[in-house]
Amino acid sequence: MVNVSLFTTCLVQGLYPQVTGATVEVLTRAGCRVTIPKSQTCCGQVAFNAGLLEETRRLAIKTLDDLEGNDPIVVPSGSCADMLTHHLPHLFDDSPELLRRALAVSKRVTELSSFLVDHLGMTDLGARFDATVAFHNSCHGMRNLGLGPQAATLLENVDSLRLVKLSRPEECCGFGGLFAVELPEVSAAIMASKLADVEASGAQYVVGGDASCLLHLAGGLHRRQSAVEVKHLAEILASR
Amino acid sequence: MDFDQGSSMATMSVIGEFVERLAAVDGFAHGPMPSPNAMATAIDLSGDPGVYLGWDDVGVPRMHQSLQAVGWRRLEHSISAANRLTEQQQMSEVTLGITGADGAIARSGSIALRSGPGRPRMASLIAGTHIAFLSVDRVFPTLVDLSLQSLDPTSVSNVVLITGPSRTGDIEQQLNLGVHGPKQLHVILLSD
Amino acid sequence: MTTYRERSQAGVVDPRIAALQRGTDRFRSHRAEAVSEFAQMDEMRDRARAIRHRVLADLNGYVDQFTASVERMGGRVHRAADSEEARKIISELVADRMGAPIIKSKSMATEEIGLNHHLEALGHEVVETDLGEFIIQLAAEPPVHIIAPALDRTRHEIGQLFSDQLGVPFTSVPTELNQIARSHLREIFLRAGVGITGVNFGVAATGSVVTVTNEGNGRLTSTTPSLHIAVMGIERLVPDLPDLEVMLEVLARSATGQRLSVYTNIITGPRRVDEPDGPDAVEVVILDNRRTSLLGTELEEVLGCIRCGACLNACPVYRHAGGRSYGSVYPGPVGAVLSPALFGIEQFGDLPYASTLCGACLEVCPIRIDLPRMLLFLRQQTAAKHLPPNVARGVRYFTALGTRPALWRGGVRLASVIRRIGPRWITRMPGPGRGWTSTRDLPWRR
Repeated sequence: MVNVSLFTTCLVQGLYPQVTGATVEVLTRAGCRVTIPKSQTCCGQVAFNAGLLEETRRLAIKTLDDLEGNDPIVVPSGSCADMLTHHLPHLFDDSPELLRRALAVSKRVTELSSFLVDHLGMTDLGARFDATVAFHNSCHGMRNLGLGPQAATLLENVDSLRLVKLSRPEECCGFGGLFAVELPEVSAAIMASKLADVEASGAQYVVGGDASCLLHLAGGLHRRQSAVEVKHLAEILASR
Repeated sequence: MDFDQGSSMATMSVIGEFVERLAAVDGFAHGPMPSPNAMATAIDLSGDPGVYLGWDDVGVPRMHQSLQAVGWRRLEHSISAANRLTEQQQMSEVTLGITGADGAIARSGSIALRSGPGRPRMASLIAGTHIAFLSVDRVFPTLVDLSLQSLDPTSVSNVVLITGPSRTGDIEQQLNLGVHGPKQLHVILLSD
Repeated sequence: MTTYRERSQAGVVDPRIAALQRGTDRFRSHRAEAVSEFAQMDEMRDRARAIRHRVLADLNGYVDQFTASVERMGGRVHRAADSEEARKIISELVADRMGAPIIKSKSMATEEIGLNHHLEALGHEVVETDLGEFIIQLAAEPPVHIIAPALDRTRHEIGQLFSDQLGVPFTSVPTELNQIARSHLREIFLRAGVGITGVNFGVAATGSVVTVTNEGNGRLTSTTPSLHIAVMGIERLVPDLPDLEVMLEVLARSATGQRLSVYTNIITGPRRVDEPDGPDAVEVVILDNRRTSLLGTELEEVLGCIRCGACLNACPVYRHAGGRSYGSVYPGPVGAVLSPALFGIEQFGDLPYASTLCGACLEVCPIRIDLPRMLLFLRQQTAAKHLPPNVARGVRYFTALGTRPALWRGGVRLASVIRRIGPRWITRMPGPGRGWTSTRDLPWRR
């Protein structure tokens, strides 16, 4: 039995709560005992990408308290995992004690698909999902954490699932956090290219590991009255 | 191929790569061949006689006499500070440039030319067709092997690496050859 | 002054955006091919990066060495602290050559200092000779891409432009347009009095200036006129010739996917007395324009840029909102860092927000310049001014909530309750949410 802490992320808590249940289900099936630190809120990425450093630090210090311990911290989001892994420590370059704690936390953080495949060596979770699926690889996870192959492996082993390739799998979806609301026209133009790619792939579902991109894509698909639906990777892996 | 006996297999493959890469950048390689054949090839490639510009020593003996024998007129090109503009006007008649080459890079299909006495820069630049003679022992696998240092750029005002004919993609990225420089680049490899 | 937001609204619906995307796509696939067939690319990128860092670590030393080398070779060097000084130096150099045209080979540094307008205002005839640059000069528009200034123009537009401006019969056949430009410019090349080029690299040890072009206009510009003026950003130095080889190995592959550009032109001083052609004088103008003020700061790294344009081609924001949306001579992700760094964060502070931080720029950069890191750094400098107030307020409320777990949990519970009622999708929201629902819906009822 592996003990893990689950950092659910703010977006999942607020707008995508089913991902929490699905992630717990998947991790449990993989032989983990999951605890969800109750006081956790947000990793601070929103404030960080806005350029609001003080706000970021305040949230980060709180996150350090929330995530005290020794267990691996699993995050069902590549971009939040990237924030906690790569940016969190640098917020405290001028404070040795906080830096030490931040480094200790960042070392324990792993994104969900990477945790399953790279850490536990699990590639088949006994899931079944009868549909044609395209995988959207979110940028921060892909470029900063090397994610993508793990999710592909996991999806290939889902019973009845047909995985199709996007023609430009490495292209950003145009979400970009606050970018989506600050520069909505550009965000929507980039999204339109991605959605055209998704629709051309013949997929019934677009699956990703980041609730943020998924929310954006879901909203865009609905706005253009597309039949394609959106699912988080954990939801697919949890279904039987 | 008409190699001399001393050529190793390694040299052969380097020459082969150069020929292949020059073709890939829309240039033409000929030979390797000995000087007399090279001269005949150059005459064949030169087309309708007109005015040409060349280096004094292109690496093939009697090249200039041969060109002139078939009707080409060589432009005596040496710009003087005082009459630059009028002398340069004559350039507009030039249809052929003929030079040697000081080195070549197999991997990119490039040739290297140094300026110098009797070596007008314009000979490789102004005409629609540029013919360059290149000795096979000056072909190197890569830029680093050729070495810019070995071309001694401080002893002359200009060293140029030429990789195919002049090209542009500035109109809808449609490939167009011969924008400002030559439209055709022929490299004749000399085996002797 | 308009904002990026305003310009980008026009940019995304510009009918030329499709041409820009086709163009950048081609550059990208050519680059990808060139990189994949070159086994040493990663090693070369590391070496190129190390060379750029070595130069920046002792920039003044290398500038001094370069200056001494150029002078030893019979050229002259002028240092310009800013655009105004650079324009003044150049206009003095060309002052006594009023009769003959000044020809130019594409140069971002001269775009940066607004040289053409300045010289034209003084009565000089200035002619751009790179085909793309010639086209946009006729159209009186700024470049849309740093290596392909007319990338988003169609052959029909160019045909119309040539017909209107040059008085030739209309054609939209690229080879014919090319021929028109060639003969029009050829005549000007041969009677030009001054040639002005940019500089891809200056070699400190030899005093060479290196220009890399495909058309040959750079060579003509630095050969036919008696005076060659090379305008170089102060950071564009490499220590010695072996370093130049490394830079050449990565530059063309990253820019156009070529192994080498057609003409790599190494100019070392004016023509020697016994050389038959070439300029009688070479003047190198070294442009600082706030570059040295970046040394030792978080932004120093951007001075490693070799202007290959790969980051523009990779950037989803550039590709969808276009080059003109940046409102700067330097567009794209590198422009979003360079423009505020060189021209002022007051005017260009909103550019660092014109990025999804997707990291595609860093992935393709031959020098591995960490543009996302610098975009974030610049946002920290400029948030107070350039973050829309309602967005900033939203983030602050959110942070306040995030640091109070009890309130947060209440909020999460409330959200889960109210999301049992209401519509399945929210299609209109007020305040900062308007940006979201202006272009997409929000999943709501669970």
